[in-house]
Amino acid sequence: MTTRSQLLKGILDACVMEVIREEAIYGYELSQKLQQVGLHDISDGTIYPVLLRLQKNGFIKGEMKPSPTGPNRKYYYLTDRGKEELEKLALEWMLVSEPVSKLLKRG
Amino acid sequence: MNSVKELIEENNEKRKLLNKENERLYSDFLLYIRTDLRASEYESEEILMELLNHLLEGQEAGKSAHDLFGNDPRAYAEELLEGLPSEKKQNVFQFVIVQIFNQLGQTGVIVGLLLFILSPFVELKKTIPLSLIVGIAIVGLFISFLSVKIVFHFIRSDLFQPDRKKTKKLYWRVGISGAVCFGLVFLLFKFLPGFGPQLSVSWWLYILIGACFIVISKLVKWLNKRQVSY
Repeated sequence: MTTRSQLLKGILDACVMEVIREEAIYGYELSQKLQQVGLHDISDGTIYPVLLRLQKNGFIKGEMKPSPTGPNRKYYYLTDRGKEELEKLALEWMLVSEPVSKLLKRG
Repeated sequence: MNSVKELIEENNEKRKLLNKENERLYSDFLLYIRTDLRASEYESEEILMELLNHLLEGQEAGKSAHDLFGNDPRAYAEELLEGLPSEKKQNVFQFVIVQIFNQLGQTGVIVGLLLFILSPFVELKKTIPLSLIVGIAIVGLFISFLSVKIVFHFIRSDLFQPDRKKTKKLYWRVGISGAVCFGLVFLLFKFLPGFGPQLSVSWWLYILIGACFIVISKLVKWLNKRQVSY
């Protein structure tokens, strides 16, 4: 894996986990939320491989249950391990983001 | 928690709500995931249900299946399959046992019935060498597993193609492979040297043993299901 895609993966993981931390959410809602906050480049399909990966690592847990509008949906929750991972990623991001933004602003 | 069966039934119902273009792409996607034998069946059905829900909601907002699956649906399916947990070894083992006993049982019953129907008209050999029975059972099982693999391979290579004229070709390929397999069994029956004890097996004994095998297969399946639901 290239450093570039690894970096993006980490950022995407953190964004997805943060949205899930705020409230239990299902796939479509999650992709809408990410686009609402301005991440328009994240296409609808991108989130599902991320969700599978986070589940495999035990950072989130999914549960099928009826939604308020009727159909069964899989809602995702952040696990305790996920909370720790999110803290770690958020901290790493803060340490990097400010200096990088400053550096790339170019005058 | 829903069972695999419930998820599949719900999927069949909901799929009818997709528009034509979305339905076609989604159905291809579904076949691609289901004919892949690596991933856990339950988790596969769960992600298929999520994607279907997503498509239905997107459809109302005017999005298409291409927004979800991207420009290369096959690559996207592969990406998901890599992320899915693999089927538990125990489940795979039990599935294989169930299939073996079921296959052998059905073959036994059919052979018994054929012998019963044919015996007044054709003079049949009274005895059959044990080696032939065992040989045919093993080769038959091998061929039936191979044909599942071959058919799945043909189906998968036909998916995500814009033109469906290929479907006809698919039937031909499956048909020819079937004929070749049948020919192989026939040749084996004809030329396999007989050794071991000579058995005289009456038609009703074939049916009885076949029925026992089928019961064993059903029993293993039932026990497995009970274990899963606990």
